[in-house]
Formats: sequence, structure tokens, C-alpha cells
Amino acid sequence: MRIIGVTKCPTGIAHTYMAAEKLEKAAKELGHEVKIETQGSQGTEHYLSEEDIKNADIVIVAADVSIDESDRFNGKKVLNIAIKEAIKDPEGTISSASSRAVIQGGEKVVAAKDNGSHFIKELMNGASHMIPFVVVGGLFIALAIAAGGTATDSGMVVEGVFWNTVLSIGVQAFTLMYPILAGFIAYSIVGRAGLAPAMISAMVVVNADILGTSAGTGFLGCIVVGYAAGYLVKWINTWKIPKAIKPIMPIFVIPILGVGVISAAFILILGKPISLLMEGLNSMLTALSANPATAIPLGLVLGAMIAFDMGGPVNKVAFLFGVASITAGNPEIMGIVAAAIPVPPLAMGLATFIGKKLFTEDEQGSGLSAFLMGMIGITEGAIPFASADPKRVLPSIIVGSAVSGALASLLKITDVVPHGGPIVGVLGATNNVFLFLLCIAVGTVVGAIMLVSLKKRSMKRI
Amino acid sequence: MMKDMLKPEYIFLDVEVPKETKEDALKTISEICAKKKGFDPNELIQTFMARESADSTGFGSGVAIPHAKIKNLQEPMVAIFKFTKAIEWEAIDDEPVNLAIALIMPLEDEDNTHLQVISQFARLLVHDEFVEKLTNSIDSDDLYNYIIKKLEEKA
Repeated sequence: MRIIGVTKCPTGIAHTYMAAEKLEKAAKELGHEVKIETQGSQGTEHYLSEEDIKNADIVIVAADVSIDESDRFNGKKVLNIAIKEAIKDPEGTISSASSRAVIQGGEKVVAAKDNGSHFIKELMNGASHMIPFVVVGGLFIALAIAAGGTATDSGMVVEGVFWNTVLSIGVQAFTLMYPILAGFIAYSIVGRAGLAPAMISAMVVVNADILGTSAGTGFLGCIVVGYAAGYLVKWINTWKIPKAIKPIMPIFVIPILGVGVISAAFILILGKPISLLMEGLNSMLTALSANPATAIPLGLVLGAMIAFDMGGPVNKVAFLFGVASITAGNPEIMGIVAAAIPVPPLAMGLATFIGKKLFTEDEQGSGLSAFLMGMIGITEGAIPFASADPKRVLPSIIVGSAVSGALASLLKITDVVPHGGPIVGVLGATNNVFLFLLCIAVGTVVGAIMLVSLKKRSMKRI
Repeated sequence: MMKDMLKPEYIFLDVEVPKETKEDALKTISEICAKKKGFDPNELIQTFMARESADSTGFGSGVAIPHAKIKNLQEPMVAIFKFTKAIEWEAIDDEPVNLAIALIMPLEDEDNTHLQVISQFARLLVHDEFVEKLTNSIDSDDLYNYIIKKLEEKA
């Protein structure tokens, strides 16, 4: 067997290493290949690479505190034990590991095997941390407008102290999403040291006054800031630093230098072109959605992208376009995206209902939960079905979402909440709840019927 | 380097403890270390006890490694204590402890080389022959040289 593991104890002085040594020794004596990562107070040693993890048959985590980067092991057979057990009975741990370990749950790390894969992973890290902020902001703003707003010439004006407070909270959350996006891109590149430079610089680049442009750089600028700050700090970390200055590097030198360099670069060089690009992109999308001739292709493409990898990079790109459209005051794009988002899980739910016999008992059971996830706009609800039968599920949901997207685009559905599914319609975030739900329903029915007939055809062949 | 942290005079072969309890043993250890380095023993006693209450540092075969990071210390210190009477330590194998190896680090030690040596030392402690030599040795200099030699082999 190929065994890998991580050891970590509260102080990280002794037991981390004793446990590692014991596990290594026992594994070798039992004839296994072994590599143990130690997360101690001197930092992480013998770091387990993607390659190590991929080739491992089993992962043993011996720790009394939560370990760093545990999500690396998602999808692997993992045995979690107290550090004590590894020290007391390493042989027993190793020989029983196979039968005691369980598959670690969670979204598998999406990493295409090409050279650019880590860029996508870093972007996804920023985007996934940003989403709760966007949801809170979007729902609070939508709720305040729905419950306390009146339509005026200058847009929706919220009246009353209470709803204004709700609105302000939502706006705070929305403002925060930019530094979170940039910060966690940098974090995924270089760890904690990247947070301050990326987050502070992100606040700078979304601020039109500081930049001296007509508009802030928005989410695109924040993505660039995240990468720039991350790789700048990574480079600073390679400098040879005199021992006396070392302790003040992470708390003093790196943040100040990082913020100074990145913010100055944006203000002086990159600010203008980036905000122009943003504006250009937004006006292009507005033009696309305003022109009836291009409305259908726009909807088809965005819808297909949403269903294509359900929470993966292609989906996130379409989703971020939608999110950007809200802040740019052009929420037709989010309308398309919001109509496409719930279709994959809803179609799965409907398909298990109308074609019961075509699905396993497990799938029938998860049909209902997929349906509920669809109602609250979690596209990932269809992933279990797609993993089980990608050849039939993926085309069905892509077509279903594309139909909903095209229809929403044609009917000029808008959505001011960066979230999709019937829930945003019910909460009043769309301009026409009935038409919005109709778009979703049509795509769902198309997707479900397509899947059922594809499954039936394959059954007949057998 | 281990030579900076462990010295022959930090190896105490006949340590008497008033009562054979872990608390008394840690108190004695702290007082001896504090006297050698010239700091106040109270912080060390408390930090040792806090670590023990999280989980016993007695790792079996009659050996314990009480360890602590404390404020009032300039350089890390490793000290070895052999007790005249075995101490009840709530060890992993429920055996009483004859030998304690105290690892004391400054709270804000940015120097990784010390921690690296300690971690190598910790790794040695899981090998039976090393522990046997430690428990059976009756001469401070002999024991000291053996540890230094083993660490050099490992490095």
C-alpha cells in the first residue's frame, strides 16, 4: 500500500514528530510505502504534493487539532485518529487503517492537469469565499427594496429606518465581497501573508475616487489584485533576509510593501485601462441583451455555461458575469443566469419523478433533495446524477439550462440578487416572478424529458 | 545545534521528588531549570501543567517529555531528569515514569534551527534502543555524548 499522512499536535514541539516517526517506522516494517507530513511549530515539513495524494491508497491524519489544508484529501480514504493512538499503537493503526478509513466528503478539488490549473484553483478559492458575502448582500438589498422600496424616476428608493438599515447592511456585505475575492485568491497562492496586501489594495481599486477614474475596477480588478498581491508576496518570501529583520517581515514589511506596490501600480498604470475594459464589457453585454437578434445566443451560451460544470470554473465565469451585471446596473444578465442556475437539480428531481424506474433507489431518494436544492438555487444538487451517468445527464442539463437562459434573455427577465433559482423570484428580486418561473419550468421540463428519453433509449438497447 | 540547548550539567541522574506525583515532579524540574537559567519557575510550572492537562506527555516505556514555551527565557533548553522513585504520570501505557526529558522553548523563538533539532530529537525518542540507552545510562557525560552522536547521525 501507499500510505500518506499528516501529524499535528497542539504545541507542535514533540508529539507531531514522534507520531510521524512511529507511523513511518511501523509502515515500513509492515512493507508499505509511506510519507508523513508534519505540521509543527517550525512549519510544515515533508509537504504532501498533489502527486503524493493522487498516488496514495490511504491517508492517516493523526491530530488533536484541525490540520491545515485538509480539503486536499477530499475523495480519498482518510482515517482520522488522535495523535495518542499513532504513538501508542502505530502497527495497529496501520494494519486497521484500510478497514477503518472512510472516504472524505466535500467538493473534489477541481484541478485540470494542464499547467494553468492552479490559476483556476486560486480563482475558485477567491470566488467561493466571496459567495456568502454576495448572497447576504444581495438578499438583504433585495429584501429591503421588496419590502420597503418605492419605484421612483431615480430607481428604487427605500423608505423607513428599518428597511434602510437592512439595505445598509446589505451594501456593507456587497462592499466586502471585493476584498474577500482578492484576499482569498492571494491566500490560496501564498497563505496568510497575502491577505492584507490583496484585501486593502482591492478596497483601493474598487474606489473610483482613489483611482481617479470614472468607475472602480470592479471584480475584474480585484481578480488581478489578488493574483498580483499573491505572487508579489511569494516573491518577497524568496528574498534573503537578515535574521534580525525576519520577525517583522510578516507583520510589518510585507503588508506595507505589498499594499504600497500594488495600490500604486493600479493607480498609476493599470487603473484606467482596467476600468475602461470593465465598462466596455458591461456595455457590450448590455448591447447583446438589448438587441433581440443576439438575445437568444447570449442566453443559450450563458445557460449552457452554468450547467456545464455545475459550480466549476465555466459555471463560475458565467456566474461572475451575472454578478458583475447587477453592480453595473444591468441585471438582465443575472436574470439569464438566475433562470439557468436551478435547472440542473430541478430537472433531476423531475426526471426521478416521471421516470422512476429508470433510476436506482438511491437516486430516487436524492431526487427530492436535488429538487429542494434547485428551489434555493444550488446547481451542485445535480452533481451526484451527473457523476453516475455523465454521458446522458450532462447533455440533458446543458440543453435544459440553455433553454431557460435563452427564454429569460428573450423575455428580458432581470434579477438583482446574485443568486439563482425560484427563491429569488419568490423574494421579489426579479422583474416578473411569473415569467421568471415559467423560464425555469420550461428548461426543467426539457432537461427532464431529454434525460428520461436518453435513459429509456439505452434501456431498450439492452 | 543540540550543544547550545543540552549540556552535561543539564542531565540530572538522581532527582528526588517529595511525593511521587506528576505535579511534584514538574515542580522539581521547573525549579531546577529555573535555577540554572535564572528565571522565575512559576510560569514554567503552570505551562507544563497546562500541557499535561491537555494530554499526558508520558509516551510509554517509563519516559515523559514535559514541554513548554515560556516568556522569560532567552535560549531554548533541554534537560534530562532521572528520578530515584518512579512517578505516576498517567502515561499512555499506564506505566510510571522514571525519566523525564524537559523541552523548554522561548515563547517568541523565531529561530527554526532549534525547533528542527528538537523535532529530530523527538523522532529519536520513538526508537527503543535510544530510549533504553537513556533509561539505563548512569553517567551524565556518557549519556550526553550518546545523544549528540545520535543527532549528528540523524542530521
